[in-house]
Amino acid sequence: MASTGVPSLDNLLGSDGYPDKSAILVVGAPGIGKEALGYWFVRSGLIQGDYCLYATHRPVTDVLRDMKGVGITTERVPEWIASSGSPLKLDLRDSVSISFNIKEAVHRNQNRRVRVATDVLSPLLVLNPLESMYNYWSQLLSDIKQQDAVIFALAEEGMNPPNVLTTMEQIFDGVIEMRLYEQGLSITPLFRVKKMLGLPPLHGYFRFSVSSTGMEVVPNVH
Amino acid sequence: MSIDIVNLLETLVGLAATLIALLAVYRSLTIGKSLVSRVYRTRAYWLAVLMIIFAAFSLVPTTSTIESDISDILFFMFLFALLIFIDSNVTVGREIDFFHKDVLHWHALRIPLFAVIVAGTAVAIVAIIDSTASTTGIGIVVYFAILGIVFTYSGATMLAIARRTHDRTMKIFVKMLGFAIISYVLFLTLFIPLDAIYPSLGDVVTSFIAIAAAYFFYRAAMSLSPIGHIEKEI
Repeated sequence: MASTGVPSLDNLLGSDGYPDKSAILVVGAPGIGKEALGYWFVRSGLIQGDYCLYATHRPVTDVLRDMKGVGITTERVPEWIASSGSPLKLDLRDSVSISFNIKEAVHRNQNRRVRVATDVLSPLLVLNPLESMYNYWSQLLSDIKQQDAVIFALAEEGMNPPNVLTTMEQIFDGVIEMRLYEQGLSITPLFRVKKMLGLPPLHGYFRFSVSSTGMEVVPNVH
Repeated sequence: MSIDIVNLLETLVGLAATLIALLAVYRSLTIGKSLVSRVYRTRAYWLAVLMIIFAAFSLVPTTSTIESDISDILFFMFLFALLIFIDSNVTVGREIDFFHKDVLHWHALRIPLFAVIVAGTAVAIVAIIDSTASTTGIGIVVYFAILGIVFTYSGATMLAIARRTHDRTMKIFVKMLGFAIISYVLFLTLFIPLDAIYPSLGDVVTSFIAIAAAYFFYRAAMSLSPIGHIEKEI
């Protein structure tokens, strides 16, 4: 199992985190905290000595600034494939090279435990036909999971139509949804595990909060 | 319609606009508090600031000179807050954009834009204070011309972002904000002529437009992030 980097979420998922050789999809609105979950996942991997790769359509400086914003120190950083600030450049118009670079980096570290986090799923789904992306991601995830690797992908709610996201959810082993919910007059950020490999369906919603000391997930009682 | 009924109606309509604006403040603050990313949180908080000024502006009567001065100050504050709020929206638009494009060179031009508004406001304040000067009329005209240019550019940038983005929530947000600003501009421009022709009835009509503006601002607040309803577990 690969720790999520969030102890309360590890407990929720059966005390150890995400299953080995799995692909996890986190769906949520922009700004809700999906990236923070990804940062904690990568940080946990770096602490445990795993090889960590972060493939992003954003500049490295932006991601580092965000990491600091949620209290993550940046002495240890993952290897980057980013739009700028990294030796390997990520160009959203070239999906073939994105896939090639990710697979190549993972294969280079085949003797280590690997963690890959990426935010390129939604942009690629917008820029390419669904059918080709379904095949593209199926192939990419299956190739990476040949090794001892966990892939963590982010998807922007609102950016892709719901049917597109539902289709893509099928090729992931775990799906987590994060969004704001109206509860009476208050608005609360809630978290839902839609599916997770090896776990029975988890019913209910969980409150989450992100602060400079970490992330906390607790059952939602209303 | 008797004057008493018109006054009562005006008061009720003004209160309704204020209440809707205050609800928008509450929603913006709670949504902002729930968001993790700084740029999205900042945008929500600036909408709350804007709505607080809006609510205060709706509440202050303009019968005495002091009240009129307070109203003028609130008007300038509203315009500043609106510009900063638009700036925070453009930053969010850039964050959402996959290629992080600086739409219509906003980030390159934002500092000169703020400087122009500050200078224009200074000219307008001097013109209002020294109302006997022969330059008063020119000062006001210059100020509104500057405002027109700056807000046309801001509006064009927001529209360009809405057209460019694939984010449905952002598109709805910009649409609601557009309706809110149009309603508010209509309220500000119709207020003076209607007040001159039909003093009491004019106030009621413009107050209804203020309600529309408050409502669209509220809808914009609710479009800061997609908001779901909890499904009942079976």
